[in-house]
Amino acid sequence: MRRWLAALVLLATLEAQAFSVGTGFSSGCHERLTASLYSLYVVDLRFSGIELPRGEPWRKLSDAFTSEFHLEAFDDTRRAIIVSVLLGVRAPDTHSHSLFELSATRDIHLDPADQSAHALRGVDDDGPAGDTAALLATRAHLKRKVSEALAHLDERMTVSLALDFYGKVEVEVLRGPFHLGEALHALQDAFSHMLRTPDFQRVQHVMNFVDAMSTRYDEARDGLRHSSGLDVCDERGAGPAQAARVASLEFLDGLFQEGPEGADRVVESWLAHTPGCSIENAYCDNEFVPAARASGTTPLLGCSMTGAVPLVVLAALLLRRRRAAALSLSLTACGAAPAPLDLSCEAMRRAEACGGDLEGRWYVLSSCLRPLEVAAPPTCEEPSVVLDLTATGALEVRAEQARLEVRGRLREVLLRPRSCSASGDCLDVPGLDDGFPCSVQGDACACSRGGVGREVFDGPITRAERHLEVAGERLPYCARDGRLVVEVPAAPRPLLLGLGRAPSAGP
Amino acid sequence: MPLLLSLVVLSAQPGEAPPGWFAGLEAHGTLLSGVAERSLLGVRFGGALRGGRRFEGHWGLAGLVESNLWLATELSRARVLRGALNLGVGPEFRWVGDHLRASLLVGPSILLTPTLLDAPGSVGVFVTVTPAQLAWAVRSLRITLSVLSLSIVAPVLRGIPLVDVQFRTTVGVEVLP
Ligand SMILES: [Zn+2]
Repeated sequence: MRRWLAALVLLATLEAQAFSVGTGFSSGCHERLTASLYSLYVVDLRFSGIELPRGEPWRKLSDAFTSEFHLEAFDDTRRAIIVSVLLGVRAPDTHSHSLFELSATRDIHLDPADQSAHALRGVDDDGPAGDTAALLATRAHLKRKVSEALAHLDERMTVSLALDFYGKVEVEVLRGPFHLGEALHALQDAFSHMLRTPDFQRVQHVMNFVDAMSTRYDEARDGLRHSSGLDVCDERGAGPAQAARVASLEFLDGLFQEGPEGADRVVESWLAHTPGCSIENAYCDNEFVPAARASGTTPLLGCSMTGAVPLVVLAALLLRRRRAAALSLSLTACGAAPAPLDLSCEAMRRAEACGGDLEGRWYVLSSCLRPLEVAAPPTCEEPSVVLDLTATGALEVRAEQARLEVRGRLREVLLRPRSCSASGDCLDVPGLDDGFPCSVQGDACACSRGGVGREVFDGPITRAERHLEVAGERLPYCARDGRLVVEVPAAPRPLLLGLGRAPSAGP
Repeated sequence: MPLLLSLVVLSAQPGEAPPGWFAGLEAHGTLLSGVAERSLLGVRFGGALRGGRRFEGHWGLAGLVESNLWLATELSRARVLRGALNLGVGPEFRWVGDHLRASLLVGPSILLTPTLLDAPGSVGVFVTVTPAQLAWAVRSLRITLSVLSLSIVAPVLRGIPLVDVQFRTTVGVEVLP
């Protein structure tokens, strides 16, 4: 019976490891976030001179990971990178052990020297100064991992991992990507283990696991308890997981574009501290605090527990599925005062709030859109493009009063769309299949540009007043509700759009 | 189920297992693994057909064909796998008025499910040691209970071996023609 209780407690503890790595009872948040980075960024990087790991296990694991996360590996090097980086992102939580290996798990997560690997306070990081110390430690950890990765970029290393039925298995991986995976883990944890400003850009408070699991925990001194309330790993919604993904992407981009300084610059920007948030002011009234308190990590057998709750009841309570906290965010749009804004609709809200020009570069993360490089427009103008994003990862773009151009590019990374199709409510246009022409051209989806024709909008949008020029011939055009669907290889898959302003319309 | 089993056991008499052929069905299960440096969870279960012949005195010969299902709990969502088909044959020893039996069965273990590292069809070894199987007579049937037995299911022996050590509890019903 004691072993059963121990197992229950173990499961409860696992549930509390925000963000989680994948097991039979926890979703692989770190892996999912990291796998999406592969699809978005890494897949199209060029690699040369990388010697593949030896042996068969890494290939088998790569099969499992590519299928689990719907990844496309075009060659063995990318397969090896997938395995290495995903094992790396799991490693800080497992240290080669099964998460159900009770004796090991406790030591791993309570190692005082290892808290910065999870963006948490160390045992001596007390009071307001503790925030700064923990942030510095996390940054130093990330710096260390980056330099380890770069120093051994073309080396191979053997790591152990626990597999079902086999127990501990040794696998050879690429050392550079493995250490980058470890770094990504810490960076992602910086969103589930830290209270942040509503736009997630700055840190208000660093949470505590190691003291929170002890019986001498004192919130005023040790900081807010580590909590599963911040680990809602929903890439479709607006929350820490979204922000963690954007930060991870910027981190990789900083590293590959500018080297370690670039990575550190990104880390520094996401670990920037806004002081003055403490228990006295409810951590600057951070809206995650109630959720964090509701599911804070507690020592399950300690005296600091509330009352004499039987262990099994407590375990059952902790095992229940958490309700996703409803989050509302605010962002500064067009230099105006912060206004409540749903991150998933930021493009639309920005357009509505200030007529924001959407020109620039945006992340489309499943159903969420986020600016990468979007200059705040000096003047408010009409929205140029409205985007509809489907939950399946397909991207639908509805053109209204705009020249529309979807380029499958993320910086210099090509997206390689599989197919592009367009549909509209005017299917009788001669020479056009379905509303307006759209096709894969090279590595991009091209619609209404080059090739067949060019969209021209004449003033206010009505069917009669729009036309399409094809080979110099004016054709009626009524694709007001036309939809462009870009199918990409893996779904859900983030896209980056290049959106152009509408050319001045004229007949 | 445990209640039902208790009632059957309480109402039954210790059974004599006379010489001759026998056949029966068994169900086995285990929840936790006690193996060092492995997951504490080790959920395995399954069913088996066990039969054989008992000779005069203490000894007999038993055989078993079993389906051993596995619950995967690492890396991604928990799921039940078809596991292995195990076959075993070996001696059975009866004592304490024939209501305690011990057996050691050995045979092949055949992987039925694709694992992360191996394809189905791999053949290895199966060993199951039952130190004490209790038996009670209920009319012409025998209800059997083995509180703890040790089974080694090892369908993959080359490369990275798949050796799964299971501490099982087994219940069964036996027909003596
Ligand atoms: Zn962590």
